[in-house]
Amino acid sequence: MKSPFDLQDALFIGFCATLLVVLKSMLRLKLGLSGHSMFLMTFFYLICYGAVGRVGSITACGLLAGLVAMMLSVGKGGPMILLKFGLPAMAMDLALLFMSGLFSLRWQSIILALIGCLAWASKGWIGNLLAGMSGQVALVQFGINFLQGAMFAVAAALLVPPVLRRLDAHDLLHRSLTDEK
Amino acid sequence: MWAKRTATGAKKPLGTLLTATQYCAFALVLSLVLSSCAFFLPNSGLGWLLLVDGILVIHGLYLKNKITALLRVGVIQLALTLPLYYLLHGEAQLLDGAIVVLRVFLAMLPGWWLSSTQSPERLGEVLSWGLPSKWAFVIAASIGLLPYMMQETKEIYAIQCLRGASITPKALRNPKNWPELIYCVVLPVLIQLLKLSKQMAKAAKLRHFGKVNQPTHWPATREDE
Repeated sequence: MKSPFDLQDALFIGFCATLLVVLKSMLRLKLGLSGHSMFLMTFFYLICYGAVGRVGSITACGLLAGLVAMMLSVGKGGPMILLKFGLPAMAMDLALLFMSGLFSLRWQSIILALIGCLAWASKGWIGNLLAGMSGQVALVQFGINFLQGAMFAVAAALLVPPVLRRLDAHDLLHRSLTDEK
Repeated sequence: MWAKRTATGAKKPLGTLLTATQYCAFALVLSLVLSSCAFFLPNSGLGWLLLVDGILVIHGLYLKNKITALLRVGVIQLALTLPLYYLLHGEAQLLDGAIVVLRVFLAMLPGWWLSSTQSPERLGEVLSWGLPSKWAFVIAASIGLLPYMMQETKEIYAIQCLRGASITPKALRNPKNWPELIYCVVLPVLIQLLKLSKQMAKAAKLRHFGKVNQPTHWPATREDE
C-alpha cells in the first residue's frame, strides 16, 4: 500500500487520532445521551481534513483512532470499535470525493458532519436489523440516534472553521485557507 | 478446560505451544468469530454461544476485570428497546425484543473479554503484521507520545481552570460550555501537535526514514519476560 501522505501529515493524523481517543477517555461525559461521542469525533476528523487537505485523511484518522482505542482498550467493543470510528470516517471521505470545493468551508463541515452522523447511526441500525429486531423498532431507534448525534456533530462542525482559521493564523497549515473562500 | 489451558498459555508463553503473540492473534480471531456468531446464529444456537461467552466472562472475572460498564450498556439498551417493542408490537413480541437485546449484548461481550485479558502491546504487534511500515511508525509514535499528550492536556486544562474558564466537569455538563473547552484546551494542544509532527518528521527524515526497503527495529526484549 502506497500512502499519498508525507510523513508529517501522517504523524499529525496519528496524533489527532490519539488525542481524540485520549480526550474521549478523559472526558467520559455522563450525559445519558448516546450521541455525544460524535462531537469529538466529528471535530477531529474535520480538523484533520482541514490541516492535511487531502481526501483520505479522514479515513486514515478514523482507522488509526480505532486501532489506538483498541490497543488502549478504551471502549468496551474490542474489534467493534474499529468499525465505530472507521465507518463515519469512510462515509465522510466518500462524500468529500463528490463535493470537495463545491461549498464554503462552513457548509462543507456541516454537511460532512451530517453524513458522518448518518453512517454512525446506520451502523447501529444495521446491527439491530442483523440481530433480528423488527424493522419499525429499529427505525425508531435509528431516528433517535441520528437526531441526537446530528445535534452534537453539527455543534462540532460549526466550531471547526474558526479553529482552522486560528491555526492558519499561527502559520501552521501547509495550504492557506484564504484561497478556499 | 479449554479456556483455562489457553489462559495458562498466556502466563508462561515460552513453555507452551503458542507464543504470547500467537495466542493474542488467536484471541482476536476468536472474539471476531464469536461477535459475528451473535448476529448470524439461529435462536436455537444462542444457548451454546451463551455457554462459550459465559466461559469467557468467568475467565475475564477470574483475572479481576470489571464488567459493570458493559452491564450498564446492556441495561440501557434493554430499557430503550422493550418499551418501543411494547408500543409498536404489543405484549406478544416482548420476548423477541429481549432476544434482540441479548444478541447485541453477546456481540459486545467477546470484545470486552479481548480488551480485558490481552495486553495492548501484544494487540499492537498482531496488528502491525498487516500494516505498512510508515503507519506502524505513526502508531508507535502516537502511542509513545500518549503520556506526553495526556500530561500536556492535563496541564493546560488545569491552568485554564485556574484562569477561570468554565470547563470544570460540573460546567461541562452544560453543552453551552463545550466551545470554551475547544478554544481553551484543544486548540493549544492542536498547535503543539502540529509543531511536534513537523519536528518529528524532520528528525525521522534526517535519519533516512523511508529510504531503506527493510526498516530496522529496536530488538524486541518483551518476548523474554
